[in-house]
Amino acid sequence: MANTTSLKRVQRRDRVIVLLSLCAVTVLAWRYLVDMADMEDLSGAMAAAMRVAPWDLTSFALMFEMWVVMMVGMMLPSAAPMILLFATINRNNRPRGSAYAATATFVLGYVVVWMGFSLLATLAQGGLQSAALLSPMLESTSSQLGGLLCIAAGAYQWTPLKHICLKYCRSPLQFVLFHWREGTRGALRMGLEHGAYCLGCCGFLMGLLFAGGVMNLLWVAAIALFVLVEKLAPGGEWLGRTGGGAMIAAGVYMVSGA
Amino acid sequence: MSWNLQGTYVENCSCDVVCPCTASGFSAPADYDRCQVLGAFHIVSGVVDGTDVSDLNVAVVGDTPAQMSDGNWRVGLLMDERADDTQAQKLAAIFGGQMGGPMATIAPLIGENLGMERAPIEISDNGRRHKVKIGDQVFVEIEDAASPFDPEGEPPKITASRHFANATMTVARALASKVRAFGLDFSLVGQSGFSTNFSWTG
Repeated sequence: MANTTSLKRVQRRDRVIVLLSLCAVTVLAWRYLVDMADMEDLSGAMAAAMRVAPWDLTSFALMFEMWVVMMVGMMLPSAAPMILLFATINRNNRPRGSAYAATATFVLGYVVVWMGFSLLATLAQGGLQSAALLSPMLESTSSQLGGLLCIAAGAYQWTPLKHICLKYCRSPLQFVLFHWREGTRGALRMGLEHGAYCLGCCGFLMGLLFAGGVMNLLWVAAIALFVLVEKLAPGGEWLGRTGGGAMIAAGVYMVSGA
Repeated sequence: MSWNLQGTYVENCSCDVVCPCTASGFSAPADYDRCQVLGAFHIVSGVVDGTDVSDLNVAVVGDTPAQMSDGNWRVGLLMDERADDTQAQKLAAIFGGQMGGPMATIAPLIGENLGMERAPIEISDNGRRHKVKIGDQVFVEIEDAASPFDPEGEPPKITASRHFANATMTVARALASKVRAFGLDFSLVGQSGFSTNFSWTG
């Protein structure tokens, strides 16, 4: 009895530690983004990196770093239920003598996928800046481009691929039942797989960042909130589809108004 | 007039994992507007009125209201093209519920019979994976769930399910899914699946 109680206490402590870590990382990420968006505080190098094209390696690295931090800040909160479930099962596996892996390994796999996306986003940003299609706030200066990004993001909300990815994102239990792998390598692989579903779910939405301004923090927060509700709230699928319709409408308006 | 059939069963339906109909003993409604379902039977061994029907396959394709217990099911039967006329006739009678057994309890729920078609049916079981291929009409592959506590052990199952195939159903989900038959057309990738054995007598 005493053993059960102490095990429960350890499990609860584990959950609290994981949750606090997620909160801390998210807060730090947003703190970084706030600093970054505050143009007054920008260091010379950063400002140059954002304004000058073509880029050198330093500015590319700075922009890549910003994208990674932004993706972590936007996506980690919505992955919290999955990460907590992973931590719980993993902790319960340990007394059974199963291979035990740190929850951090799972999270690492998840983040690696979004790092890959960040690399693409940085390249896209570089390309758009070279073509002079982005403002200093990294917002599309072409309403045609902005409109097309909105239409693409909106249309994707209605595709079967989106539906399947969202299903796995919304149901950590289903992911665990069909994707569980033992040990550290398994945890990394599961993190990569969950990250892939997450990317399949939200990748196109991130294109909207260029439409509303990558450095427009309110816009960044609005997209992050949309993702959070779509993934976690009851009936989130319908918000996703309705939102998709609104994006298409806004996109058509932007393209035709140009 | 006695018969018995034993074999394996593979199902894929439009519900999310786990299908609430089967999980609730058919008291709860399906997750979406309609229940769309494919159920495929591989008869390992069977005798109907002295006729051997071993190693034949049969599949049912259904489209029902979300609340399945309401009835008004639309059901079509895909019959193994390797079955001769006598075998086909007898199997059709069993799956139509005219010879007692589990399908006889389903029969009153069927509102529209979509008919019977002959087709080449292949059903294969490979560990946790189960595949159904019916001509160019059906391709379904499902994968059994695995418990994180014992991934190599017994997969999670629902027992006492009241399902017509077997009371015990192994939880699965579809890896691939395409069904195009009797005017029905659906693809249920990622949706609920079940695998089990069946042993019927009547």
